[in-house]
Amino acid sequence: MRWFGHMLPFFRRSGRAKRQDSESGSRQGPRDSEDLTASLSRSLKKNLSRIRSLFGDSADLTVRELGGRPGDSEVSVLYLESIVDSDFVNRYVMTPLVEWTVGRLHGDRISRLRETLPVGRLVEMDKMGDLLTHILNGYTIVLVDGTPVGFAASTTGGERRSVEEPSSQTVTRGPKESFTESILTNMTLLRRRIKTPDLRVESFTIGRQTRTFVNILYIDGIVLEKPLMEVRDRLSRIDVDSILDSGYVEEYIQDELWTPFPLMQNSERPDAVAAGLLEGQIAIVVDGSPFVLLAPTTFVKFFQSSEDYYQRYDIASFLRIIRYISFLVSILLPSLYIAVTTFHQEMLPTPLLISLASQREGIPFPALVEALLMELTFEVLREAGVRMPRVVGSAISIVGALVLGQAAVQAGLVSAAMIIVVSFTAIANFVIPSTNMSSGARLIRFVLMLLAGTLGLFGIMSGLMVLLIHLVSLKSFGVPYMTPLAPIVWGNMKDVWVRVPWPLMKTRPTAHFQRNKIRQGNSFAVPSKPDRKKGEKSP
Amino acid sequence: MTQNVTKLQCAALVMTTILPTAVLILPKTVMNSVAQDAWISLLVSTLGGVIVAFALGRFAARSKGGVPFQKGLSESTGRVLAALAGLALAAYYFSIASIALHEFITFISAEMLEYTPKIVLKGATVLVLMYIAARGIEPIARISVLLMLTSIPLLALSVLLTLSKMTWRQIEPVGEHSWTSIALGGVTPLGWFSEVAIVLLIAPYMTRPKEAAKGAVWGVLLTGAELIVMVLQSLFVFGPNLVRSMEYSMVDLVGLIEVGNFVERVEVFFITFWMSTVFLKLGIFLFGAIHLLETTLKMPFNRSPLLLGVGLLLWADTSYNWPHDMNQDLTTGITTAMLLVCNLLFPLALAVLGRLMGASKQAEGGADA
Repeated sequence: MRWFGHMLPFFRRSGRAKRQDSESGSRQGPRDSEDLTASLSRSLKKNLSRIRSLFGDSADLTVRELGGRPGDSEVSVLYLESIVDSDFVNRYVMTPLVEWTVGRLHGDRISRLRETLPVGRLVEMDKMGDLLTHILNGYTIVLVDGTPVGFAASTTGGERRSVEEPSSQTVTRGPKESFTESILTNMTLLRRRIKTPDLRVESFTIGRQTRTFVNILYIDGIVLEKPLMEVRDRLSRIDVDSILDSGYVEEYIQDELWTPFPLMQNSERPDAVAAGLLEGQIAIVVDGSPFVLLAPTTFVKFFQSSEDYYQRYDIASFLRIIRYISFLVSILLPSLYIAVTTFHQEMLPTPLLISLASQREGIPFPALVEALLMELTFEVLREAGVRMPRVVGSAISIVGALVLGQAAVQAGLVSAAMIIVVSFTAIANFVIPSTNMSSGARLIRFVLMLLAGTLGLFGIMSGLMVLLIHLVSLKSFGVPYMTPLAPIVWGNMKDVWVRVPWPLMKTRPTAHFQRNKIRQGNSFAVPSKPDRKKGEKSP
Repeated sequence: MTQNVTKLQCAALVMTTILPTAVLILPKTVMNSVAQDAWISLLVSTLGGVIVAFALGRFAARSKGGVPFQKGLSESTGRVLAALAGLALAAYYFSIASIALHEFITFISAEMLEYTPKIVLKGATVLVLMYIAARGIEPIARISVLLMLTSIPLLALSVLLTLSKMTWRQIEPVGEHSWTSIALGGVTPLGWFSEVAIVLLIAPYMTRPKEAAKGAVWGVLLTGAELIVMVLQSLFVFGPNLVRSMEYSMVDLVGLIEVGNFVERVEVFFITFWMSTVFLKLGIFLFGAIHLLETTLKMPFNRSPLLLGVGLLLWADTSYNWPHDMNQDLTTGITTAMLLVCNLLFPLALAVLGRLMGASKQAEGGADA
């Protein structure tokens, strides 16, 4: 039994070690939380030593010591070379500091230092954790010996993508700018559109390892307090290693996980986000993501495109109705085809029935299998088209459309009618302006196809009923997802099925979101009767 | 549950509870009694239904916001009586759900899916109903409003499209039957209208429970109006004799609609729309049973296990408890008596009992003082 005695301490130790790991993990990840919550020391030497040990002597951590010998200096400047604008640091931080230290100015050194640094944003901090967060986000830190505070100068730089045209939410008429990965650029794009001091920004840092900046934006006086508090609360509860895109935040804070429908909008268009803010929505901007989130949202918002508001109301309304129909086609057409050809042939007019029957003659698969095969083939082609290098992307569409489709029909594997159904369904799916919603529609389509193949129209209706109940019970940050349709809000129907002319949209379309409902004066109100001055008699 | 049901939603819920099965069965049943005077019978029973709705609505309006019906009852009639009433009503809603489900699947099987085993169809329906009941009354109310608003233009359209096939003389001679026969012909529809008793369960979750009576009355009025229009439409197109020989006259009526050579056989679309209303109706009944059970038994756990158990029981009951060739007249006979007793007499008895016990408590309190 001696071996057991030797093994026992190992088991005990490993159990304890595991517990300690999990405890530290639940608090601050790999760093000891005490390191980060500790205050800065008065001794510059001690501060530098702690920072160096925290960074493990990273190669891109630059430490410049001024006003004395190395190790005994008066001022230190720290930054990560990879993410700062070096030219900016040299010109606006280093040069004044050198002058300051050489000049040996008297009086209050800290206030002199503030005046000396010609940078716009200078943050004062006394915690090691704050210092770390700023340095990791491209700030340059200035530490002064004998002072337990540090200064962070905004010097964020490094290589970034410039503002380009949106890639997934294009319009023919309207602004052509899109968000980038830089939170500052994105904030600039929004601030340039909404020039009011009521546009409020609140900042969060989320992610134990990534320490990602997440900003929430809203317009005070328009936004409702309840969803705003909900957004703040949910963001502050996120405790995760990394936030690499707004998609992470979306999944953490949305109301319901088990749904195919998106409960938050995302947009890469600053104009769309600005419009959302003006309707009382809250924007969530995540550093590193070109997609800004909007909450709360409703089902109908996913069928509204930015362009609806830039072009004439009549064509915009027509296109919107087309989008709703396309959504229905996208989820229902293959399942209806399966149900009708398998169970309810009597529904079809006789000539059409004969035509379909002759096409299906010799096809070895039932309609359900035939449809599933074609739909899955299309999904494979679509996925391949996204992943393939752009130069060969067009080849994929040729292979898919011509070779596979035509060959499959000629080989007698699928009917021509099925090719038409699948193609039209696919095209209809692309009409939906939101990719999140169109992805949801793709999933629902497969479920409905299976139901149609087993129970015909009864199966489709069962599926639709579950879907409908699910939809009306969804909420986005407390706002019913199907409003203004269910529950019905008559006053908000001006921007649902159609978009009425701007002068008639006196109130904001989604009253559930905001306090201030009125958004325009009466100067352009459409007169109901010919204008006449008071007392003027008709001829 | 929160108090979010509006008056409009209450009316729509009442309509959804009554209309879906009534629309199929009532035309034939009433015409069997009073032939071309069926519409007068329906008019009379609608007026009766309004009185019933008002009485039950007033009783429901006494409920406290957010307090379930059964719990409210225990405050007025005592725990034991309230528990018995809760269990009895739960049994009623379960039973009526089972009967309605059986009728629904019999219809689906006859009209759409002849070769699919009924037990499979019933199983699939029970799954949908369980999901509906799990989500509570609010989603059902929201969809009910949508369906109500859709049904009105659809009915108007069907009347317009069958105008050319109508013969106005089909309802002559008007008032041929005695008033006693006409009143008796209205008994079956009155049974259906008494399903307005669902308002007792809805009222506590209304934004203003006091408006329960208005919601109930409006629900019955709208239902009655739609039924009268449908019966008149059937009468004008087919005449009383033909309707009596038809199993489901409304389906045959919609089947007549043709626009040119390309829009025909629209009865399948009618059935599809109608199916959605039946799903909701059955969902309301299952919700009623589950809600009453969980409030009466004071379940210490969430709704899911109870839902699963009751759902399985419903599937078994509806699959094996009814003969496969159950006569529709038999069903109608049973249900009318049951509907009137459970929806009308029982709640009214509870209301009277509650009043009496409340009065005696007050008297005791006064004596003590």
